[in-house]
Amino acid sequence: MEPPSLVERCQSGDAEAFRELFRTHRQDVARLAQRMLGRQTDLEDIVQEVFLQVHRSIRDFRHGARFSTWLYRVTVNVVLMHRRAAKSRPVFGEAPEHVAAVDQRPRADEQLERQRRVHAFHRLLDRLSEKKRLVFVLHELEGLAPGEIAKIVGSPVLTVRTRLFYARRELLALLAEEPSLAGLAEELTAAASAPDDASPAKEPA
Amino acid sequence: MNGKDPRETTLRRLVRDARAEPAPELDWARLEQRLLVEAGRRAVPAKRSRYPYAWGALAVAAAVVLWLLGTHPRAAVSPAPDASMEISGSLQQLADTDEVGTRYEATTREVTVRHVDRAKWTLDKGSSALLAGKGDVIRVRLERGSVLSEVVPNPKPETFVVEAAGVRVAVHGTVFRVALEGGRVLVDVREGTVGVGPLGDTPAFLLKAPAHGNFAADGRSGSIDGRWVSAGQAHPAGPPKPPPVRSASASASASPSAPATTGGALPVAPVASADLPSEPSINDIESGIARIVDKTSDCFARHTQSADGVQITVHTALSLQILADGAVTNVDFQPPLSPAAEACAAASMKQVRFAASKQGTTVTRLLELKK
Repeated sequence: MEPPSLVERCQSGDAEAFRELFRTHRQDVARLAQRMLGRQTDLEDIVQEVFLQVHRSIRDFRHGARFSTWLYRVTVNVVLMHRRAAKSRPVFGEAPEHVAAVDQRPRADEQLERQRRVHAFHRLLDRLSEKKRLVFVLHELEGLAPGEIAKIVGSPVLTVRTRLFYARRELLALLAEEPSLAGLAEELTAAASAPDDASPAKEPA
Repeated sequence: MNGKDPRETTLRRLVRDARAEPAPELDWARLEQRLLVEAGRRAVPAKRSRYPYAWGALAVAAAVVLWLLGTHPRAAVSPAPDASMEISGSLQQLADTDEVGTRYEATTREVTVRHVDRAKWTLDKGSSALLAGKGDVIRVRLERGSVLSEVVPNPKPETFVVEAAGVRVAVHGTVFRVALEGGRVLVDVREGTVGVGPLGDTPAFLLKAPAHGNFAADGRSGSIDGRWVSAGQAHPAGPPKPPPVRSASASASASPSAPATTGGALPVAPVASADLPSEPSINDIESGIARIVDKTSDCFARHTQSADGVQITVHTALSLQILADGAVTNVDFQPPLSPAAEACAAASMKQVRFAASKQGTTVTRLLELKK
């Protein structure tokens, strides 16, 4: 819970409080933006724009609401605006897939494999519609409840739940179309008979 | 999610992996500094009232006073055509949300304007410029002073244009400065290549870094690194003489509709060496590169295996050298394509011939190839 005094100090134009607010929430904002975008291009610009919007609009924030929800909403709006602006032009910022594959830097196999899966997962997410991807990211990756997501996206809770349902269903269908995930599916299927399917001990830290 | 379905298990695992990804590490100190300066700058304009009628009289009075004082602040979030943005701070201004017609003025210190993923340009102190276009081509209209532009390389030609007086400076991945001084337009190219010419016309001159151009306000004549030039002709020194035979690139510059490159069957017109431009014109290069990109895309599609329903996208940087006789050589892809696709692309590029020039040039383009 955000200390009210910090937000209030920001609302009164206290630059030091704004700096503190930035330091407190910057990683959450960057993480959400990265999850929504699936890559780090322009992340700095986006984080900066989010906090500029916060700085500009924080007087409109009412203390009955949760600051984190309000910040999520600002972040979501900035990222969506960025995506819309970027939609009409080709993207060259992301490293080609086969470059990552021949990367010679020493890395743990497991970590490399996980990164590859995460990239593939973001490619799948990218194929969802904007609205479905957004609620899926907020719910599954950010761990927000549908009620809070509804406040962030400005839709009824039922709509959020519906979008979540269809997002999952589409992702399940898309899984078959992502060749780099075929190995994972087979591996998990083979391990399905094992008592501990999740194998938490093998998870990288 | 039900764990019994293997796809559900896979999806659950992917979600878990994605959640475990660490938060991105950015240069927080630099970002904080940027943010605080920009926040201070944006805090200067008055906040827009929700009750314009209630405050109307006060706003009008304030506007009149400000006008009389010679300052014209613009509401921070409502850029309108010909709105004026007086910026007394510095650092990053994101232009993606600004409307075409927004004016940027660097009154007391320099101002940097960013177009995410595409370009950024910095107005020197005392300069002003208008955002004249922001679609496929970003157009910046320099009204006074100078602007330093850094443009992200893009496979599309001429994605960024600076207009100054009657001069048009078009680029596709470079760093260059344009200045208005005493009715002349000065162009300094620090990286890459820019094309310069009259407004509304095709580029007549090609400046390759490092180069300095000094052009008349109509963009039809001037000097490049001390050599006098005029539209369609480049002269090593001294006043121009009528050319006995126009080079292929000069023809291309004069007639945009004419094909700038020649196929293998079409020979380059015999021209006296002294009449050749030092490099192919930017039109010639761009239309030739467009053909090369098409051929490379065909080769990639033909020689790349993919399963049904799977789309493969590859990003690669194509570098090639254009020889003085217009032939293409030293073709290189980084990262490389498959040997079959590269061999196919190299073979097809031999059919493309650019206009002859004195020294040729080298070209690099980022390609996005899909199968």
